Amino acid sequence: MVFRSSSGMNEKEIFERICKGDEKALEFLYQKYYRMMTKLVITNSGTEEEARDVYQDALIVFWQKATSGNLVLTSKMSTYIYSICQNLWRKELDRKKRLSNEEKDTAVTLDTDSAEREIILAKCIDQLGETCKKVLMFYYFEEMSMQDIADKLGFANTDTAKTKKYKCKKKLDELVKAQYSEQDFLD
Amino acid sequence: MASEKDLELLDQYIGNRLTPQEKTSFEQKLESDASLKNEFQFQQKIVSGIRNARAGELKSMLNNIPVSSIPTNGTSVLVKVGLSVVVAGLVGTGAYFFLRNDETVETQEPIAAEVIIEEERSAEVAEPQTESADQDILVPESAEAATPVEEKQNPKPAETSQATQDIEQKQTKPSVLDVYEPSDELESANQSAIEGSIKANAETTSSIVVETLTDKKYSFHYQFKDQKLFLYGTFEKNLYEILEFFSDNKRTMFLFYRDNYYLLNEDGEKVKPLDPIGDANLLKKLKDFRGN
Repeated sequence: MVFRSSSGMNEKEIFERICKGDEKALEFLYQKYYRMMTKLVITNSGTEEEARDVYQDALIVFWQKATSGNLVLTSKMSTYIYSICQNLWRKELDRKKRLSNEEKDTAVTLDTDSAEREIILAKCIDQLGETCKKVLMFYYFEEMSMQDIADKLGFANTDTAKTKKYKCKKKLDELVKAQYSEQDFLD
Repeated sequence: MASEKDLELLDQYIGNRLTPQEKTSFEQKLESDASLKNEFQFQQKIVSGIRNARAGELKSMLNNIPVSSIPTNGTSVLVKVGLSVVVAGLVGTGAYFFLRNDETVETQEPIAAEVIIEEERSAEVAEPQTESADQDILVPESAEAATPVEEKQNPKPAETSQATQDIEQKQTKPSVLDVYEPSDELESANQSAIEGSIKANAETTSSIVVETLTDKKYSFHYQFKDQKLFLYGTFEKNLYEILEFFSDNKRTMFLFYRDNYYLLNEDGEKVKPLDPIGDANLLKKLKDFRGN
């Protein structure tokens, strides 16, 4: 028989699981802090949707830093995430303020190019197989070690992970180049 | 044309995998090699596309996670109910509360709170003072004052913890708002139940989200519906606990609330009354498992 008390999971355990790229732990964290973090935005002139958006973005920043091993926590996770939320929401408020001060035109023009490029890339990434996508995402976004990638995706060893990553990246480069010239991607 | 070795270094550079020294040296090379710089710009955008795609994937994953209702600018029905409980409790045993509060407030975590204060001071976004009522509910007691311990030591834990929140609220008001340790909210029983469920997720993918509701018809009842547990009644925040037992792939759940244990029968979606367990043997086992 397994006994499970509802208050058994501690901060350290959650953080360790996050660092290893355990998405279940991320889901847990999301639920755990949801009310607290969204309240920050809602009580500071934000809508529910904006609050959720800011919180999700903050959590993803936290996740990325944790999985890449670039985060040494000196405070509680909630304190850290809370401060990211604050910064993101402050930036968003500034952005809104700027937009209302007739800078709309410039902002929209600047966004068009990168938005177009993102669509191109997203399409090419979608053409990759699921494993390829994961390998590249874990390598470039989570910045996981080859060992962790191999463990997570069930590869025999780090050499397999390395080869897979190399081939997948090459394939993506080719897909992008096939549709658009490199020049399109240069500033 | 960049060499194979340069391309390898470039990939590591974009992937943030170089040491600071390697990074500096590579940046120098990048400045002096136009074709490598072109390749860098191209690769940087591809990698940025991968990163955006992953962030989008994570976002949509988070969007699909059920969460408890979002606090609104106004005061929700649940909050109002909670408030009335707090007020009633305060009126009834005011003096007693103050004595107990002093003790409990000492168990807070001043360092963590200070961090928030500092952050808040630098923040331009200030929480309106008028939110005090809502905050009464949202500001829980400190982690050290977690429910089980208080319940054991205190004959009237519900009122005390609520009063603690109130006092804590009053004490933090003079500073620039939100002067609470956000993680304290984690101790809410609702979230604790989720905390329990993540362990389940990791092992059995089971998940229980608990929601408390008030309904005229159901004063002290429960219901399993849509994979959630609904508790009907004026359950004080932080003061209930869900215990899960797993045996032969079967889950048995109990509610612990105010020194009593209640069996939670997951069969059907009917609203069922909560009846305290009287079986002395079972009670002993539950107490042993819970550690009190």
